[in-house]
Amino acid sequence: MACGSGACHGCVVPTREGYLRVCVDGPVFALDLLGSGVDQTGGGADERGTDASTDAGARGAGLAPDGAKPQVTQ
Amino acid sequence: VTQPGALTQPGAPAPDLAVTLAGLRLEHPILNASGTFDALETARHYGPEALAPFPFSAYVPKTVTLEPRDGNPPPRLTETAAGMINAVGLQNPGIEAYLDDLPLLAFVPVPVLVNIGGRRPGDYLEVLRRVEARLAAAGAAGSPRVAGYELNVSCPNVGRGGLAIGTEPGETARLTAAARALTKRLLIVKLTPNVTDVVAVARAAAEAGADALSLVNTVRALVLDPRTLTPFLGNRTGGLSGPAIKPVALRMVWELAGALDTPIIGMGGIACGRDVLEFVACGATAVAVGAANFSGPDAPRRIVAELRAELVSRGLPDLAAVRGRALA
Repeated sequence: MACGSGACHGCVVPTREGYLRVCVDGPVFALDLLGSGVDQTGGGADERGTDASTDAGARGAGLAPDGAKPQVTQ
Repeated sequence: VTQPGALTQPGAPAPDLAVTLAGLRLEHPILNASGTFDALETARHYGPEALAPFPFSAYVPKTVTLEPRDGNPPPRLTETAAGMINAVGLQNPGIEAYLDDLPLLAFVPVPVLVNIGGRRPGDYLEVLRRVEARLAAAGAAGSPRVAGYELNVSCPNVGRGGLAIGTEPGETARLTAAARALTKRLLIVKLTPNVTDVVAVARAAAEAGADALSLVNTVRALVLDPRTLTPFLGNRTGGLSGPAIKPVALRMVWELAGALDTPIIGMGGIACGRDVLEFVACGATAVAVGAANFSGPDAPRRIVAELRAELVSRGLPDLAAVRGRALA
């Protein structure tokens, strides 16, 4: 977490309403809100499916289907 | 917080921190770097007193794009040696929601510079058009004082493989010229350090009508997960900021100031008053504080106070006395 006050969007978690900030939208979230409602490519709705070649592509977060992304806490 | 004049020698006038950036008068040279400070969230989180007086001489909100952007998958940032890396990916609600919320910024007592991002040049221009249209329709009442725009042509975390419009002088010139035709307000182009020749891109922007140039955006970088030895960030690569990049930023500001007369907003790792003075000595007219904001809402006021103390201790009456000194 960088700013801890809602500015940096660094602490987000995927939810059905998009990426929400732990610091100001959380830290407690309703269980049924959690889960991926977000575009894993980083873009908006207009860009979905066109973005697979970018850096932001298929690697995804901890939710990526390939499970390649480790969950790390520092 | 140091009061104006508190550190001044008896009989000596308080140093004058005011600067004029391409015709825009600023009370002191310190702006916020886009995406590192949110006036509304700061007021909510720390209380309105955190913004009274307003810590920056102009306010640059987070980058807005035409369409809403979810941003990049987490993890989005982590600390690095003397800095941090981020790959937020310009998460924002899109220009329509942004404009609906714009009246909430009416309390901001300093000029607002709308920072615009996008993937295609047409997106930037449409955002600019809509801001101008909304401001024209709203009139002065109930709106913040939008003094100009900062075109973020340099975000390393969106676009194809991290390439941004700002890596291409021709693309930068075309976008800048088209934006220039849409507004009489201050037009700032924010440059990336991820180029071989920053002067070429800067010159292209200046000749196309940019009033000022801001630099640097973050430096493209990579951090590995120490356990798996694979990229840590959800976006894999990210942008490095903080004191680690200050010498890189200083060199680029210095190069630019030596080559062009266009006013410069210098940024990259500014964390104290002397850092500000160094950027000014390299030719910057104003500066922006970015990663240092994450140490808390007091950072900008501390830096302003330190800058004032630096001028006093060096017997300098104002920033003009030191501007460009490193270019000699």
